[in-house]
Amino acid sequence: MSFRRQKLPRMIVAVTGCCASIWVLFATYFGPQIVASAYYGKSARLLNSLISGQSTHPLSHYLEAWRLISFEVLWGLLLLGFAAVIATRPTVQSAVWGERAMTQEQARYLTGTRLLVIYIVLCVIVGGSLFCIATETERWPFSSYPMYSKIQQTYSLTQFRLYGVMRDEGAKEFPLVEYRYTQPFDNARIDASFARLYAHPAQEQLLKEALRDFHSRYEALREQGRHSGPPLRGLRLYKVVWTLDPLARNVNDPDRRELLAEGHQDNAQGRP
Amino acid sequence: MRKDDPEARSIASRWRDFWFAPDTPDNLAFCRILFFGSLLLFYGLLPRFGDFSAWGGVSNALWQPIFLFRALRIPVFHSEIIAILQGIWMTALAMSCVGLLTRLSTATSLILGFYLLGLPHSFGKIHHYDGLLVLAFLVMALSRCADRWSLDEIFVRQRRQSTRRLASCEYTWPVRAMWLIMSLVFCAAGIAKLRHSGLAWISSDSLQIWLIEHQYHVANSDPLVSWGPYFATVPWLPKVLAATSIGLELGYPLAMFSRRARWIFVPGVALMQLSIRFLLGPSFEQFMICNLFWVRWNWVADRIKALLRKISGRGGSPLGGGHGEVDSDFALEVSAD
Repeated sequence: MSFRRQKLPRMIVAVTGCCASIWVLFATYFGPQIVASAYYGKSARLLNSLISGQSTHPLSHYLEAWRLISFEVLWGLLLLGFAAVIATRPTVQSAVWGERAMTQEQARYLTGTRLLVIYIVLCVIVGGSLFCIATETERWPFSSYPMYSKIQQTYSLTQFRLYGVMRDEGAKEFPLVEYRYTQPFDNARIDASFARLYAHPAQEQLLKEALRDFHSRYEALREQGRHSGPPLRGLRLYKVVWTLDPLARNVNDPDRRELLAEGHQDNAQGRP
Repeated sequence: MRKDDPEARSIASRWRDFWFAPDTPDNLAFCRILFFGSLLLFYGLLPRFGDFSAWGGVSNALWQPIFLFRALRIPVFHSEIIAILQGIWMTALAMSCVGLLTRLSTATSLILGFYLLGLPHSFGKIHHYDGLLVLAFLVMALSRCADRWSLDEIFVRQRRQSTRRLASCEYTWPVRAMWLIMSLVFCAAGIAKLRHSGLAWISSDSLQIWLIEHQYHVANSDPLVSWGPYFATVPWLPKVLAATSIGLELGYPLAMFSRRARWIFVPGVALMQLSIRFLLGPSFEQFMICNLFWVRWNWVADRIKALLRKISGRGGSPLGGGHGEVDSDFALEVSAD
């Protein structure tokens, strides 16, 4: 008990102090060198891959970013140490987790800070939920749970959908509706994401970048053997419209498709 | 209202009984084991849900952080770092399940769970299947869920040479908090439908249309069966299903207070979510797991114990003592130290 009360907090302060000092030394003397070598592609593969905008940003941009990150890490370390010291306080422990050794009275009636902590948690749960319900907002993990709440009046469907353009077979197209092709994106997320990008003022650039991203991931997954889809020359984004068939027989045969954008991964450029 | 008003006292005591009626530690301990164990299996065995590292490689063009990620300036880390965090999270889930360093492991489950589960929602769309898990982690992290059936308990018992199995109000409020969370979720869903569409949500063709529309690959998962359009051909069936759904959602909070209502609304909503998974596609496995908080595991253990006793024809049971009603053998056993 005396170790917990007296030595443990001191030990945490000492460890935090040591870690912070080591970090300051590292961030000042070694960090910038590592950033520079990663910038020039001379560091480890993982570190090299962290910097990809050499064509648009000078080295000083990344050094400044490193300075900011190192300050944030230092603050994080100090905050963590402070939180750990606070967490060792018996009063804090009994408030957050209850009395370690309960008497009969404490078992039957919660009092003081422990009761307050429980009520605060309940208030956060109820308050967060009611706020989202009242304002109809999404504040994940709270929500007003609005899915399927608006009535659907017409038997038609419009979706943003990705189509793969095959590298062979006369550049045939096929819809990328299977999760294995687009993971970690599912169809609902693809539709919502591209609807947002399409409405963005910088839509042309963003759509191109997003299509490049989907294409490179598709090819990476294919090369890893995680799907057996054909190699693609690129991707096309369509706005697809269906009149719903009562037995859904026209899933692969929409009424019309409007081409919105086309893109491909950088190293696929110029391939037939 | 006067302090000695019998009605006021009754409300206060009912409130206290609801949240803080003394209970044995067993029920909460079983909930802990099953909750964290099920999540470990779910996220461990289904890479579609459990592999978060892929989000680290997605382009910034698709990054649209959720409110708390934006407010706390939480970034999306590199895939390798996310994979490490994911490994730590799974370890924390496993440790929480067996009750090893439970305070640390449940807190880690909460913090990393918030980050990892929130990450996918920061890419284009917020799905609603796992928000309640973060709140459940919060409740479990602050509860004394490892006072029984845990490695921590075994170590403490060895150290102190005593057992501590007091019935306490500490073991009641976490389970009630989970009931509250689930009630808020379903009631919110019912309110949203009434607010946006009124009774037209039932009388319109909406559900009929959705049953067909979801065959067109629009949801986060495709329906498990293609019967939706056939259900839609029976004009009254979607309307009955819609009325039942909205009734179950709005009435769900009754399950908190009435044992009879619990037998209707909890299985009813679970069945509704299963039907959604089969006919429409969206998955709610995480909600299914949270339903375990509605089960009185003491009661289940007692029944199993009685069954085993009956089968063996002896008085003892492999499960040993330690569960049962509050006033049973150990209810107010006091520690010796």
